[in-house]
Amino acid sequence: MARDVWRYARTMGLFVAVWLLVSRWADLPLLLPSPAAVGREFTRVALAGEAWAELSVSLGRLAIGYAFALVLGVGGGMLVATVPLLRAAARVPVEVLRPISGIAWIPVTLYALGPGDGVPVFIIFYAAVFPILLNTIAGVEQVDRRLVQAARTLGAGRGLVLRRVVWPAALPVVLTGARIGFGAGWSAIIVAELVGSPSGLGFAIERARQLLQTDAVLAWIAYIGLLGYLVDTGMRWMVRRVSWHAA
Amino acid sequence: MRREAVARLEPVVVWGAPLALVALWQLAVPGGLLPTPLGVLRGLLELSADGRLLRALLWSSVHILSGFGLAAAIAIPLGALVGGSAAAEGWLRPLVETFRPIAPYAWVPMAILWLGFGSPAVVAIVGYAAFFPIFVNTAEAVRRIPPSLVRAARTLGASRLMIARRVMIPGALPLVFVGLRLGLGAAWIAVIAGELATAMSGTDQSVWNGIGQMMFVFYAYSINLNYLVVGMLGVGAVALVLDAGLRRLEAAVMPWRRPARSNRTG
Repeated sequence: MARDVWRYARTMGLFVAVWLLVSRWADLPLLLPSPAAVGREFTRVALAGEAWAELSVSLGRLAIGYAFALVLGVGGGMLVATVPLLRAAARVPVEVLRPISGIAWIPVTLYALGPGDGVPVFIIFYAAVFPILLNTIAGVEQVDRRLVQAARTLGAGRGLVLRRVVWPAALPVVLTGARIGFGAGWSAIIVAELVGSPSGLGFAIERARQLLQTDAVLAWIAYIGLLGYLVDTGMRWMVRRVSWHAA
Repeated sequence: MRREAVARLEPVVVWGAPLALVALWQLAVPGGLLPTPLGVLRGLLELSADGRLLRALLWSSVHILSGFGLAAAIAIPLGALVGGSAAAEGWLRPLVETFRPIAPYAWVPMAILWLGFGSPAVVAIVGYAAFFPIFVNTAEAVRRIPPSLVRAARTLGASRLMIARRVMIPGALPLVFVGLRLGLGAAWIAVIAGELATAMSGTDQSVWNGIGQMMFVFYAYSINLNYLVVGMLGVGAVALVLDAGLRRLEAAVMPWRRPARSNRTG
């Protein structure tokens, strides 16, 4: 652990040193602000509470969009996987919509909903729902038939079979889908906010660029990276906890 | 329902259900600005006829291939280096792991500041997005080459070059291709995002070439939602074509592998 910290420190230290030298030599604060300037802006934003404000807006949207994606993805996935006719009906629409990335929906959604909260939430939902849906279907389909048959032999009704046999067996694959969906939603939110909303992290970056405050741009990027890292770690921790229960 | 009945109904439902949805869409939407299936069809014909759709698709493909190629050219050697050398990994990993959580689109404003509002910025974003999956998977691929295979080749007298060509590269290829597939997917999303974002941030229309930018034109300037939907479908179609192309390449380069199932996790 200590060795990792040391390795991290020496690489990033070297990186910052090179950055400092290049920014001094190039002397183009518009294009390459010095690490000091970025660090100053980073702290200012934190202390002024701006960081928290934008962060919470973005996180809130992420939570709502992702919650919808979970409910619809898992619920829809289980429904589709267990009712053969539904699966047939869903196949073409899903295959047509799947390659159209959530980003492509931004103009249409912007037109329908206008700038604000709706656009990022919808884009997050759209980006997250496909991995969740597809993985849920795959997870249910790969459940060993014999388990289901064994439960039926012991007299279990459909509901019980679904809850106690199919669901736990499908869970690992479903969770993988949830993780992928989360990553997709997280990526989507930045661009959705970049172009579609007057608030949030993505917007903060774009505003800083328009004001030509490059040091602020980089500071916000650092925030996004930090948040992304925290979110990813949190996700992995959660997956480990739930898998422990299910295993 | 009885299984035979279901089996017979299935082909009907597979195509019938979507068609019913499309018909419903056409009937439910009042005329005017909102997109309708017939409107989209007409838009498709119009945009194809005057070549705008093709031009935009081609430009977006150029963006994505350049960005992807650039990323692969850097990520594969770097990944191989990191996979093979613990020292290299020790130095490079913190840097990569610091930048990886930063979504590619967060760099759009920086890319615009450095490279302007046109194609170079888009290519940069695409390259950044594609880099990480390729890098991570290549490193893992090299790391996973069983040392016993290398040692066996050495025992049989193979030179270093021969080992690299006949043992290491084929051994690493499958996972490298996984990385390439993921990178291509990321690149395609990044292309649309990059084109949209650069268009939305600037006003110089002369550099607007790709589909994302075209879509922005139809959103903000000559508002035409049918054209927008055509753009979206075009995005989907190209994504499928690119993925199929990569799978062909994969089959050609690794003839000993059976074709993998389609990537259902999107």
